[in-house]
Amino acid sequence: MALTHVALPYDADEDFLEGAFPFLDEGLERDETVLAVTCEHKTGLLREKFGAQVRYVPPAAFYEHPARVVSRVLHQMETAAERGRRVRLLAEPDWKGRADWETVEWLRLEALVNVALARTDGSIMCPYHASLPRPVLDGARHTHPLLARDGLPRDNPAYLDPAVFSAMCDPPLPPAPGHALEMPLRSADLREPRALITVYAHRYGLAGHRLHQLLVALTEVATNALSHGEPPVLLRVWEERDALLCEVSDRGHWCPSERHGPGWLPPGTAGSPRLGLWAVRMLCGRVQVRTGVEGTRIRLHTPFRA
Amino acid sequence: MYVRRSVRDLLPGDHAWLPFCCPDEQGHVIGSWIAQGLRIRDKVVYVTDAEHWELPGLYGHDLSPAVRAGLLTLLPVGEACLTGGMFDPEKMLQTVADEIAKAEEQEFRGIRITAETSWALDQPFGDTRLMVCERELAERVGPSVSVTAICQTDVRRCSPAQFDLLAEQHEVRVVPDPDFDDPVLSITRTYRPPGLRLCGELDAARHTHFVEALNSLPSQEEAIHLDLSELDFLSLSALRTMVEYTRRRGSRGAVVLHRVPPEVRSTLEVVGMHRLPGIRLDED
Repeated sequence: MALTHVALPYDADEDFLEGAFPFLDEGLERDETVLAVTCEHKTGLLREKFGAQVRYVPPAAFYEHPARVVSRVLHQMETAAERGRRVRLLAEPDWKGRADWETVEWLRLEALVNVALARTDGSIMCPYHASLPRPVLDGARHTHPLLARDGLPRDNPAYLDPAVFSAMCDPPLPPAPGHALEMPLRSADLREPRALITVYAHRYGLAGHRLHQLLVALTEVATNALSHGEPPVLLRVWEERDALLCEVSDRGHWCPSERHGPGWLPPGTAGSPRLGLWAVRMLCGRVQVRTGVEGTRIRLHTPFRA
Repeated sequence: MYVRRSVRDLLPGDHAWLPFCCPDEQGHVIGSWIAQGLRIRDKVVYVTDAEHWELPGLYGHDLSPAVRAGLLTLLPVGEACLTGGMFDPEKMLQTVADEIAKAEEQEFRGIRITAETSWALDQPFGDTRLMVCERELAERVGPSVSVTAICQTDVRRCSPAQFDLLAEQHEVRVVPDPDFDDPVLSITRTYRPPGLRLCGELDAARHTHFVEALNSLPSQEEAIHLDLSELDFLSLSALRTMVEYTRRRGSRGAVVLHRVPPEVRSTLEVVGMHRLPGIRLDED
């Protein structure tokens, strides 16, 4: 029982279908739950052949948030397994219109899927069009253990250890800007920092559930820094383009025990100490963790608009 | 509609109701209300056949000094409100009026009156008689600047219709004093269902108090229930505490969250209930 994660490089529709048809066919033959996430045009081509046997999901609905997608697919595969079923997924994001950092995060997801879903017996095929930018195609080669060629999955020699690939996705963080609001944190009673962030967020129209989720995430990160880090613990808040940024820093050199980076993988159960940062990643738009001899910084990004 | 008030917040003029489901609940409220009254030298009048050492929540406490000093008066049920073995509202009201007059004469600043009258519901027309009494009592206590009354009802002896009738007669419902409270968080024991009511903000700073309150709950209950209707903030560390608590209690243990505010709920949904084993959302 293991995950199958295969990349399908293609150029013309025919190449796409040459890989997708046998992949989906195999799933239907084995009576698996079969999903296809791809653009409208290719969904149409698949629908001609498979009709309602396959569930079609628009990419915008599926690729809503990296951490949440992994969690959702994992949950889906686990619950299917309880009923003796497998899940098969053809998944192609819409890479157009993504900021560079978003592209990096989605590629990181491709790497982490190999670990997060390793114990499931799901099958995932990710089509990559030849016209995609170089970094995306390189990322695809580095993150899929298998490549489909002539309709068959073959070992991919360019595949990298997901931990290594994920680390490559973490460039050094620029320092917080000078105009950032700064507040030292001393006590586990974090009402005041929450109130401060609330005022700041309201100024940019950030409120409701998304603000609340940020406050929960911030409280977790700050509580960790206060109980495990080295003082001084500092909170910095500023805005950057269209997002609110909150950073918690301390002087401690934290060595996360997880090989694949802190909080990237869903915890088996919530009681495991890994719930914290993983849940923070679920609750926030983007979470950057940097730790070294100079200290630890955790930066939470919350876009002003969903 | 009613307001919920803890024992220590009851005010003169309050005609409060204590619907209880077990001796623990009755004792938690009545015991502390009597003890607080005696401490500040209020007059306490209790219509009961119990002896001074067997009052709810004060079982085994020797209250004879308070009885001798005239602070505590225990009136046997027969004398206070029975005529021919039946509950007599007129007699009860007269008894209450006499006791208030006496206490006023003795210049008590506060007068506390209580009775447990669920037994009257079993008698023919008992509920009607009780309603007459309650209505009249509400009118007499309401304007008073010294009298506080608590009417106790054992809900196990009371039909849903009777419960609603009694509820209508009382604007105040008395609940136990919080296990913990400060300006940020209060934690109060609940009995129906068994659990805690959390108000305010719960984060790691008040973690210990939350754990203490959880640990003080009866261990034989299958599930414990948290009323979150007035909780503005719930941290991930508090959720972890709940998960650990259910794990300690074994496979039967669950924490059921009730009346979860939308923002707290959104957090739970994003994290995913399947990542929080032992915690359930009640859809009430």
